Amino acid sequence: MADNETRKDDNLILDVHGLKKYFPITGGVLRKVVGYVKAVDDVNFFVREGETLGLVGESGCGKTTAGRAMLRLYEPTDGKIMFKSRALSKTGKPEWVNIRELSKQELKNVRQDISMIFQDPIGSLNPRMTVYDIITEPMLIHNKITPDTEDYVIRLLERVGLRGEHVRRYPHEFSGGQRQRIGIARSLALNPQLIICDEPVSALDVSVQAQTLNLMNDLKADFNLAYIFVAHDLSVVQHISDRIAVMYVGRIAEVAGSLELYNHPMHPYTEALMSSVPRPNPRAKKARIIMEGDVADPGNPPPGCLFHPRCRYVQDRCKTEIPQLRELRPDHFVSCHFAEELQLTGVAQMS
Amino acid sequence: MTEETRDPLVVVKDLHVDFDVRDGIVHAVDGASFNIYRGQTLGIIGESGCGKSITAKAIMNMIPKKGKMTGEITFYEKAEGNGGLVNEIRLDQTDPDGEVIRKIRGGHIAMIFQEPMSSLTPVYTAGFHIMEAVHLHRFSEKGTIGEQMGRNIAAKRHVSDEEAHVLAVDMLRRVGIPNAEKRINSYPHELSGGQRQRVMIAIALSTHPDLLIADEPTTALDVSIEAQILDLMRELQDTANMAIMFITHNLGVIAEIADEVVVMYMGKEVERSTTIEIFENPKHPYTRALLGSIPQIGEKRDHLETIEGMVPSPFNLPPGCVFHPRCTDYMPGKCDRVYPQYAEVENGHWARCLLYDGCWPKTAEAQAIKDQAVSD
Repeated sequence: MADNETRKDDNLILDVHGLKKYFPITGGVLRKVVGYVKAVDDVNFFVREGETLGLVGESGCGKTTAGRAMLRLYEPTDGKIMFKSRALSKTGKPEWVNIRELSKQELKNVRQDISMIFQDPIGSLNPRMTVYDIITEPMLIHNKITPDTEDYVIRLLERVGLRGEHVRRYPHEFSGGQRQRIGIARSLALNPQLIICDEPVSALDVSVQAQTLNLMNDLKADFNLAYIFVAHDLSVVQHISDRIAVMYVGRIAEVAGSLELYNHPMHPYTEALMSSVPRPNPRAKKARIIMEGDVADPGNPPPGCLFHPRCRYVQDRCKTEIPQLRELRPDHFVSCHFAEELQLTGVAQMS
Repeated sequence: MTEETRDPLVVVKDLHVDFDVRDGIVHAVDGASFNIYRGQTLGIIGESGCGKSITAKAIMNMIPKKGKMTGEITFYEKAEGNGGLVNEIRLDQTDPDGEVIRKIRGGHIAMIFQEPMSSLTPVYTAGFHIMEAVHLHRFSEKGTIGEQMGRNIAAKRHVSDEEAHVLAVDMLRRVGIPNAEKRINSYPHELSGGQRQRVMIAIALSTHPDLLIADEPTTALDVSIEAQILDLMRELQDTANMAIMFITHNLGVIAEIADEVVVMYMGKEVERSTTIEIFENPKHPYTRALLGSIPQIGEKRDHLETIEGMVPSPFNLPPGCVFHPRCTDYMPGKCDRVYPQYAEVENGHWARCLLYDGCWPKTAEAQAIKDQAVSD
């Protein structure tokens, strides 16, 4: 994927090449840069139109940073973020742009096409603004307010399962699940093509979480949205995603269709991660693979494959050579030297 | 295990905890009854605000001052060398600041909190935290002056600093922290989230408690660390015959660790049975809905089942069964008028739902509503 500039077969909307985000570590009296935390290091992935790409991994693996770098909320250190934008096109036909090279004004415009849903439904809504103000703020910024805006907001609220008369209320009058719906309505206000969802349901209760996931799935079909769904809960990600990218310490370990990933993982990390997910079945056999030790420190990563200190199948080559992401089956990318030889167990075979 | 061979450790009977706040009275726990047996794990599940954490705090007699607790909580203490005699201690009647409960807290009953970040004091090392618990609750096992006399003295003598240090290092090693001798001198900020939670567990387990109360112990952790910690808890349970009360909203974790499960909704216990029964034969519509609303790994569905609406305000509870506005089996004229009793609807399977005859109160009024509905 890294080599061919664009994949010809697909209707891609986003194509990321070699994305890097290094945070400097400063030290000493002069705050000199003594090293870098490689939060995202050489990440490649793509998103098709109307598709959900899940981004999973343990805390600190760079999934949130990668998601935010798409919108340049964090300025990427290196890489290419190709996006098929409607807002920046003069002809009306979507055009490919590199988000990293956009000017400030262009970046502002491209953000009509990409919006975001945040994790914390309380912190991400301004308590002094009414629901109407919150939802119309992006429209105000982009001069999209018309006499019909109020009707539009009410329709939007009803679409996300709130009542139209709530439009003049303040965020504190709503429950956590309702607040997340307000956040979703806001993200839809400018009719985007891609929504980056950063842990959108992890602060919600189980029953409300199910409502929200169903809503997001419905909206995706209605508005032909693509999602990048960043989350740590693997069962939630598997439920909502068409394809999943597993990240480990700033790098992509494996990308595959969500059922393919669960049934035929090809990276040892994916195998271990999947097996650790507690399953709501008391009779399920406990075939968990316990990963020894902790996640590698992205400020001081081990040489070679980042996962090798915790890997059950480690060999000498893993300790020196960094594996590249390779497409081993159609749409199934793995970065492991021995992916072809290993016979890994998927969730399906475990029960 | 059958009822007779199980050895009760804590028996909770009809526990109520009320908070009198400005907007009214909140029944945080409204009639919870369950037993915790030695060597077994009791899981408590429910959504936020259902009273599961307050139930745990009631057992430790740590209800905030504003709260009022009624009901019975009995702790059966098995004293060593007491001829197998069992002391019954009524935890609800102990003075919350008194000598008795302070010996039990952290000693006989230990607790792990959800937030490993804020539960450790940032200015003390990991080792200090563990040694503090050891000093307070562990007694020296060394007999020095003659066997009999030594034992008598030892039973009174708290462990020395050196002994506490050895115990703390050993504990850290057992919870899987590498380089325990060095890590004992680490401050909380030098440890990762998983390691901090393991230090919390080491503190709780260092006193060899009879009961470990774990309040969402793995919620803030990654699945790989969670798996390590669940394994560790199970292993320690097997070796020390420790009972665990495991509070969580994660049904997957409950399925892995619990022997018996209590489901709570709005402060009320709505169902209790063995884990397998709860998952395979749930009786209460709320439990069924909860099970249907979680995505399962390795399985693809278009839609999850949902529980319509949301948790009601604690100041404005619906009449009758509190779950009826969200219930799929709602029976108009019945569920909104009669408050169901908690009853054993099948052998060892308790529920609080009017779908089951046993849950109808024995009052004339309730019986009239029931008969009227039948004749309709």
